[in-house]
Amino acid sequence: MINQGALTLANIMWLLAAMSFVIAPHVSHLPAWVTATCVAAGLWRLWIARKALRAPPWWLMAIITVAITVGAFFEYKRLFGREVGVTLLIVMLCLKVLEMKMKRDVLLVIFLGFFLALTNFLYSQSIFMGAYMFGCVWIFIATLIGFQRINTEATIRERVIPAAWLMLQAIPMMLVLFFLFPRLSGPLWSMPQENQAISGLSDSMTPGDISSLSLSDAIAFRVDFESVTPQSQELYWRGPVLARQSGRGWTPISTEERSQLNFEKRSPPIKYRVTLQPHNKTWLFALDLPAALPAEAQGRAFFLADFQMRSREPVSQLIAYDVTSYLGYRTLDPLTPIDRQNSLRYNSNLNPRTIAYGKKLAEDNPDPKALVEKLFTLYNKEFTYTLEPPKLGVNSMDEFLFETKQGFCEHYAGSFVLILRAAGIPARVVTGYQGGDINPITKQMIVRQSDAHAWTEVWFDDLGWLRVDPTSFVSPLRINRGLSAAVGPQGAFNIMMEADKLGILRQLRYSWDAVNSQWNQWVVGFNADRQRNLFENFGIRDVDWRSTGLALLIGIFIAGGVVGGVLFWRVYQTQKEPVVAAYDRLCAKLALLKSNTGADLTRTPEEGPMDFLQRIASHHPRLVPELKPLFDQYIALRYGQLQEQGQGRGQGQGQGRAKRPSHRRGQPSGHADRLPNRTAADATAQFILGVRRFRTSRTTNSTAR
Amino acid sequence: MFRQRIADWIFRSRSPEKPPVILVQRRIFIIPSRTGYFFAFVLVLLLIASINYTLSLGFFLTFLLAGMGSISMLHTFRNLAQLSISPGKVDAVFAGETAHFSLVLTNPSLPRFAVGVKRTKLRDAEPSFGDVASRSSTTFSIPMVAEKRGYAVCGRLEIFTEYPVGLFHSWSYIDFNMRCLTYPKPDTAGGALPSNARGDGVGNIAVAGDEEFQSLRAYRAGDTPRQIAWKALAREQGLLSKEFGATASADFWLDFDSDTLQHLSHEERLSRLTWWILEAERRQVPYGLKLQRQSFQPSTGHIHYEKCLKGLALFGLNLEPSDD
Repeated sequence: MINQGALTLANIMWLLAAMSFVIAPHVSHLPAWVTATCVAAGLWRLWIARKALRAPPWWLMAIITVAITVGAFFEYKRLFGREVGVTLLIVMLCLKVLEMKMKRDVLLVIFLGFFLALTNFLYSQSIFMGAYMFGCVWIFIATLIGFQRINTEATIRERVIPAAWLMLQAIPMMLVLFFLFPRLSGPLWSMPQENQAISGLSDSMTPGDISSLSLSDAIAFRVDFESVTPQSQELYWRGPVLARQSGRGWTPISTEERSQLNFEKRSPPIKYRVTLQPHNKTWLFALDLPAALPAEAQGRAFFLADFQMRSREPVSQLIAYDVTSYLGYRTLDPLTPIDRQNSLRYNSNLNPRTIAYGKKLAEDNPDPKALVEKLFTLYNKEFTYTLEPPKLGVNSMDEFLFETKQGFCEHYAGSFVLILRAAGIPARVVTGYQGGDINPITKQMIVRQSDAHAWTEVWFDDLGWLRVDPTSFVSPLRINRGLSAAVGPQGAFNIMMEADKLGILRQLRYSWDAVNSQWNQWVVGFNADRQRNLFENFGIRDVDWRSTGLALLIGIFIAGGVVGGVLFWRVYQTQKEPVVAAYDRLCAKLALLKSNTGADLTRTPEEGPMDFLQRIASHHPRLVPELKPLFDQYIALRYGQLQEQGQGRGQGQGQGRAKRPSHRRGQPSGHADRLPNRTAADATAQFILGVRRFRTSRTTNSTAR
Repeated sequence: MFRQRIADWIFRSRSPEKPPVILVQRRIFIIPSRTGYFFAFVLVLLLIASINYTLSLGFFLTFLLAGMGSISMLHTFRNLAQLSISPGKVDAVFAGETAHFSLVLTNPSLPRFAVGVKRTKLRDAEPSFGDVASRSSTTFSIPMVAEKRGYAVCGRLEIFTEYPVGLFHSWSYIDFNMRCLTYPKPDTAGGALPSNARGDGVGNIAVAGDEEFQSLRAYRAGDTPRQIAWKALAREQGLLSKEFGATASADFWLDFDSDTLQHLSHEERLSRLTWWILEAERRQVPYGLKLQRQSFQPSTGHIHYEKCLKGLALFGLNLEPSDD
């Protein structure tokens, strides 16, 4: 199998390069010993290929395989699952590379390499990752082409260019299949969720949680408003509601599910579409208060009594949903005794001064509204809003309220609720996002992690639950203009943006965001729903498998037909040399001449140029002065010293016997005779021009005279 | 095999063909190779993973590879299409030796890679592979052991390729009725030339003096380079051949029916005669050959030698009239 094995050094190096490229993005989440094993296997293989050594014995491979499996078990505490599966696939494929002996092994490695490329998408589906993997597939196909060569070694051009053509020609079919292949709306079987921590809101709040998020530029979700975009101070995106004080922070309590929220609508509806980035939690963000569950959810979403919208499954991929919200509302549900109890409970062992203050405040202000008014003045006059508040001790609220008086939204929300509860007014903490940034290019609102916020809801017997945002008492700018307006730019990028007076960076950032948004909409977020929308845009309603199948078939037929047609056309184009083509044109022109004697002046296949010219001369002697130089030029180009390079090369290689080992490699001189021969090129051009100028009509007239 | 049967049916009355044959569309067959089926299986795995983890880019990858795979069918087909095929020269061999049939593939257009040629008669025939550069031709040599004297028949040839990605196997059949003249296997144990080849008791033919230069005569086609009088040529006396002493003394005949060969079988006699002709030619002894009704007048030289061996090769065989 030596002639077919093709396990040459160059081929092995290509394969190792392809493998390295496809594994590289995985390195960040692979255990170090796995990466080390892979690198070692690759280097060993390279050494084997260089020195033409034997592959390691099977028993050694078996020992290594068992050792790695055991190692993976200790690392992940299991042998099934996504993470451990990817790790094992990578390391086993590297071992396969090490021990491969035949072409069949190589093919296995390359095909599983494609699978490895796919596993990268489990971690990222960004534009960069897509482009990078496209490159990886290119290298893999180039490698595959190299391995298909027999006896001769493929040059880099002979690998890379056909691979590129194959991929480019596959693109029409890829697009057709991507958009028309019937999509399922859920997974085939549910996989154990191994949620990676994604920075974002959490379901508890202690001072410092949200201020750490404020440094993150990551996008939480994007919003497309249908017509009206509300003012910034109206944009409260509700996340987890935290009604229990626990330790220094706040945690949620379980409440009952609802299919509808009960409230009085006091403003026109606001319609919008949220495209939510995966956060591995069940929150579905909406503006207070949403009228109904999204139609797309179909039982996969629900409301909670505290007005949260939730998903049954953690949001582990990009999703989009349509919501209608009423920003002006009055809640209609009565406060049940349990709710009241939950909303008044506090830890009486901590923060004694705060509790005492709350109780005193209640005595002084029997009217809850007056009490809130009083607190507004307190916060507004004496407190400062800062991202870097002083560290607080055990009685954190006491220290904050009476000593440091500097805090971020979680301090204000927490202390505010605690005071109200001590004063006997039901209240709770609400977290979520506040505000948003409009991308002027897409007109889309972008809500980032830095927009994370905490506010409160207070129960008034006549008004129901009412939103009160103590942060706005301290820093109205935060609510009206956003975080950077309130506390200055955060993070290196934002500081750079601030310095960029012309707004170039800002413009770039918005453009990039617009691209990403389209990518999310058409690529990452393209699912069964979007496919249905696409069909509806083309006027096809009630999409079933038959119409999808038909569309798919037609699409493939067109995509394949166009590419196939071009390919066929190219193979049937026998590439004539320019000189021969021009001579044929000249003969065709002469064939149109009718001689006086009525003889046919079509050149016969076996007739040489000299004979042909003689025959023409005997019928049309006047043509000779014009034709003679042309025929001389042709003879010189075709049979003489000025032979065209293509012709000479072709004959030179013609003698090659099939069994000759890699004659391509041992042909460095091939470049020399490929260099354009200037005289030959000039003569060719001159001849072609001469043929073009030759007019039979003109000469026929002259003969008639 | 199914493939074989289809081809048998399609080619049932076609062969032999007149060269050159151009591999046009309807002559080329294509089916997925075993690798191709494996690739399809991998694609299914990719699709399942994409569906299950809702990986949009996974769908892209799967469909890109699916498109690439289907397009590769055209590329594999194209690697054979429009090749022009004609038979090459075949040198005669002795029985038991390997005959090398040759096939010339001429490429009028794009370069072709990893094209294989093999005989279809043998299941595990070792194919020979080669590339055919753009606007050039490559000669493929197809080895085959010539077992018996007569004509070794090459039979139908399969020209195939799996380039560029090996997912499809594309092939075409061709039969030029190529055959290789096979001389009888020389009986190396046949010993020296018989002192009395004729068997008539005349034992004084001076074969010992065969190296002795006698005279010069004009060059005749078929004289070996050893016979040419190079010195005379150098003296510008024209092309002359040397005649040796032994040739003058008597005509030396090898006879199929001679008494010395009576104890041997038909084929053994042919083998023995072949060996003697080789010996005589080596020693430049002019020899004649009698094969019952056929007889070759005594002479030496390549043409005579080939004529005699061909007579031996085809002696007693019922063959259709050859065209060479």
